[in-house]
Amino acid sequence: MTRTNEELMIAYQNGNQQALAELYENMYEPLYCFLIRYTSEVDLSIDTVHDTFETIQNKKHIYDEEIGTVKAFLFQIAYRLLINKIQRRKRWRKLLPSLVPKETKTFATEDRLTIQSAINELSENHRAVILLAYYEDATQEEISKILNIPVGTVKSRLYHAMKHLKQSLKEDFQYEK
Amino acid sequence: MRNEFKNEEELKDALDSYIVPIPKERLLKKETKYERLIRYLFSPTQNPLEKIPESKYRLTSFQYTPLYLIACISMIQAFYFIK
Repeated sequence: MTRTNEELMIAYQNGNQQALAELYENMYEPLYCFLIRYTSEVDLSIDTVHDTFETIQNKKHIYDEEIGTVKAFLFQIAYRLLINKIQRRKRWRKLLPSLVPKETKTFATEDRLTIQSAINELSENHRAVILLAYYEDATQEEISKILNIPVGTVKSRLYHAMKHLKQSLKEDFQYEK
Repeated sequence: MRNEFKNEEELKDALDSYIVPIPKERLLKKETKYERLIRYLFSPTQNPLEKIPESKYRLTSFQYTPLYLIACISMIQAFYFIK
C-alpha cells in the first residue's frame, strides 16, 4: 500500500526515517524538473534538490498539514533556496567574475531548444508561474504559497507569461517557414 | 490549473515537447560538502586574462610588460648593490 506524501511527512515528523526516503523517492523528479526548467543548469538544480531535503531534515517540525500540501511545502523551500543561491552568485559575479563557474546550459533536440529558449526569455517571475502551473499542475493558491505572492498576481503573471510564450513560439514558427 | 491551457493546443504541444533527462544516479547519491567543493574547483571558469588581449595595443602591452618589469627590477637591484 502506497502512502501519500502527507502521510509520509507526518510519519517522518514522528521519527520514521524510512518515510523521508520514500518521500524523496516520490518527489525528487518533479523538484528537479522544475528547477532544471527554471535555471537550465544541472549542477545547481541537483544541489538545490539535495539542499531542500537537508532543510527538511533540520526543520521537519515546520510542516503543518492544515497549511497546505507537502508538494507545495517542498517547492516553496526549493524555490527559496534557489533564489538565494542565484542572488549569492550574482553578488559574487559582480565582485569576482572569474571565480564564478561558467553556466553550462543544456540543449538537445530542436523542439526542446525552441521551447527552452522561449521559456528562458521569460522574466524569472513569469517563468516560475508557468512552470508550476503547467508542469506541476499546481493550483493558483499553491503557486501563491510557493512564490509568496497574492493569487491575483499569479493570475496576471500567468496571463502575461502565456501571451509572451505564444508570441515567441509564433515568431519562431514564422521564421522557420 | 491546466484549465488555463484548455484552448491552447499549440502552446500545450510545445510545452509537452520540453522533456528533461533526469540524472538519477547523481540525484540518488548525496554529495558531501567536500565533494561539492572539489566539483566547484574543477568546474570551468571565465579566464580572468581573456579581456586583456582584446585590442592590438593591449595585446602588445600584455606581451611586453613582463620584459619591462624584469628589466626595471634588475636595474633597481643593480643600483642598490652599486651604492
